[in-house]
Amino acid sequence: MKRLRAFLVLWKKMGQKAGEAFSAAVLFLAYFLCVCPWAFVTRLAGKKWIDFSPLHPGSGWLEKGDDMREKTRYERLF
Amino acid sequence: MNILGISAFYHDSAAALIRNGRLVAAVQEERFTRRKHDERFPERSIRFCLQKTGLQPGDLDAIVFYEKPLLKFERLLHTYLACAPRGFSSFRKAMQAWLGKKLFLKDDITREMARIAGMKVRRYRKTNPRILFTEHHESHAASAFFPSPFESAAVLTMDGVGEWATASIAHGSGNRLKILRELPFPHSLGLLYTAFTYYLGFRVNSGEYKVMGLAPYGEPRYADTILDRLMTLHEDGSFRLNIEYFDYLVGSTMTSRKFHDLFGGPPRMPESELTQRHMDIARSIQLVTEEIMLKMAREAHRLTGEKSLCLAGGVALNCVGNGRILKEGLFQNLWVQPAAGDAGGAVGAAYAAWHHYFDGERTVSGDDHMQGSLLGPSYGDDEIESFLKQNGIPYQKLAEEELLTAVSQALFGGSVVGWFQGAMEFGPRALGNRSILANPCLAETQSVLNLKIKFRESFRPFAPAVLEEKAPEFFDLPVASPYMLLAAPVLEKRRNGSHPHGLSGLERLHEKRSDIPAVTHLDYSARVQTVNPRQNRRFYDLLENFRDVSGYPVLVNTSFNVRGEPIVRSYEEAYQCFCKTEMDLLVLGNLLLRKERPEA
Repeated sequence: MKRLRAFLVLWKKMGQKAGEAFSAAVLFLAYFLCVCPWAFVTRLAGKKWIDFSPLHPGSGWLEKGDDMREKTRYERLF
Repeated sequence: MNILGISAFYHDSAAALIRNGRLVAAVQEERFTRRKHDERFPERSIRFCLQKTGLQPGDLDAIVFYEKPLLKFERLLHTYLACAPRGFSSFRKAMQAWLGKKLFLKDDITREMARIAGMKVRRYRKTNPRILFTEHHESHAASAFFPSPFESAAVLTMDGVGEWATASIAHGSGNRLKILRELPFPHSLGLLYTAFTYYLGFRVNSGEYKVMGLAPYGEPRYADTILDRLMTLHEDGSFRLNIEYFDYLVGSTMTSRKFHDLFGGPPRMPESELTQRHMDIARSIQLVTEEIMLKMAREAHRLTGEKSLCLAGGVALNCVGNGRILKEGLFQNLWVQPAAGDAGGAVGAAYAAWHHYFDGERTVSGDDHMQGSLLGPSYGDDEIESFLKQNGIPYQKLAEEELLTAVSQALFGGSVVGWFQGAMEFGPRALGNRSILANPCLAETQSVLNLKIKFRESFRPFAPAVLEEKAPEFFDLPVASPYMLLAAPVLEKRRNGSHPHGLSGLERLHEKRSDIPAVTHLDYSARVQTVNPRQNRRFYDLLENFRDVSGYPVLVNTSFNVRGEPIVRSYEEAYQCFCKTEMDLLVLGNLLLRKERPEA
């Protein structure tokens, strides 16, 4: 019984490790096969995903003025 | 109408409950789990809020989360697309968290609430729980304005980052709040300050107040470097950071090698020696932060034309900066949300839903709606007495007057007292219900408290609690500061002018700077808490009693915890903390415990 329990614990640990390795591999592929090429192409086309330029003329504030009474904005996740 | 506000999954998770527009309970999860800045779902906090009000999860009209997860996820994706191919390690960690849980927040909240309700998820879903989401800075702005004592006010929020915004200016009037301006990521005052916190060897999102405490020991030698090299600061308070000096976008640290080269070396190792250079850097970033806060406040004034200002967001815990804004005189009134960090987002989210979503009314009276921030768990004398009896712990039960006199006399004689009363405070400050108290007139109090009680760095200053009406006799403070979020200078007449020459940095720690030396920081400032009887009757009475005994209506008030632990919540935790430290007295309600020391 003890041996069986030890085996099951080991099996679970190995399963976890395998799962972690698999997800890391998937994320690795997603990053280097999707994110990086997409970033490269879009940046080449002039897309600024985030404006890093430190010497931006004028104000850095973005003007807002949303109607905060609009109910659906609270029901959305975005 | 019952609305539950939740903040979670970044740091300082918390829950708050509003009943018919009145805040009735608020608490941080760390106080239950004993894990400082706990970010996990605030299950125990929610249970407490429901228990305090006798509600069931099914009685809630809305559950409001304090930020919008998809907007935050969008910001993360944009960041990786902007920085690729750098950032895989950060991407992997972030995606595991987001794809595993955070993206499905609505389901997660439903599952957790079903667990709290003791129902199967499917059955709980049939009750149609209304789960709402506010934006991060909207939650902060709502937490600053709606509970404030003002009919209308300018609102300024500043922190690390929410979804996209890192700071915002809003206008509050009646039961409405309108965001007027936002400063976009990655240009963030909170992250800038945190980068220096990291560089100075303190914990990110935790040690920022240590940088503030260290600043007076230094000279602002690097302020121009920060302003010239790290950022472009505009007159309207907006700024843009030079991201080459930082690594917080996709890196594992806050600062880059270029930053280290600029400031003369690698980051300080935690717990290693603090040099004059570290103190100068702390002073410089503090000064720059104050300048930015001032400029932002001026812009808020220009945009709204209001006489009152409300502050929230982690940067609003910078009481020195808040004091500078007040001193500037732009605003006649200043109110800071006592839980200005992310925990307060739970309060703001609930208030935003009540006023904006449900169109609930807002009433304004002389006092704010935070009720002294005493919104957490409380315990009766009977319960405490039964615990003490069961464990054979000797104690004295005293009538209130007797108790106050005994404690005041002990404090006057130099004793350090653990003071545990009523409901626990919401927010990072102990305000007289979970406090350690001491005599501010004794020069050795600061080092005794730091080294023997709190086990923390010797340079850390302590805050005074003072009778509200007596505050002008000690401090240059034109408004009340009930939540210890304003630093004010000690009056000239109380200062001690003679100092030994030639000392610098930490050598000046033991100077007797005023007649209340234990609470007078190196620059003669103090982080003042004003106490009035409406918000905390018993603490007020204790201060009065101490004044009768000592002539001073002032006490040292520091949080009831030791380094690295959250503030105590229950009497058991208070007793354990009392045993672990060199506190002399512990007061649990009306029960007095003395530490038995072996005779010499």
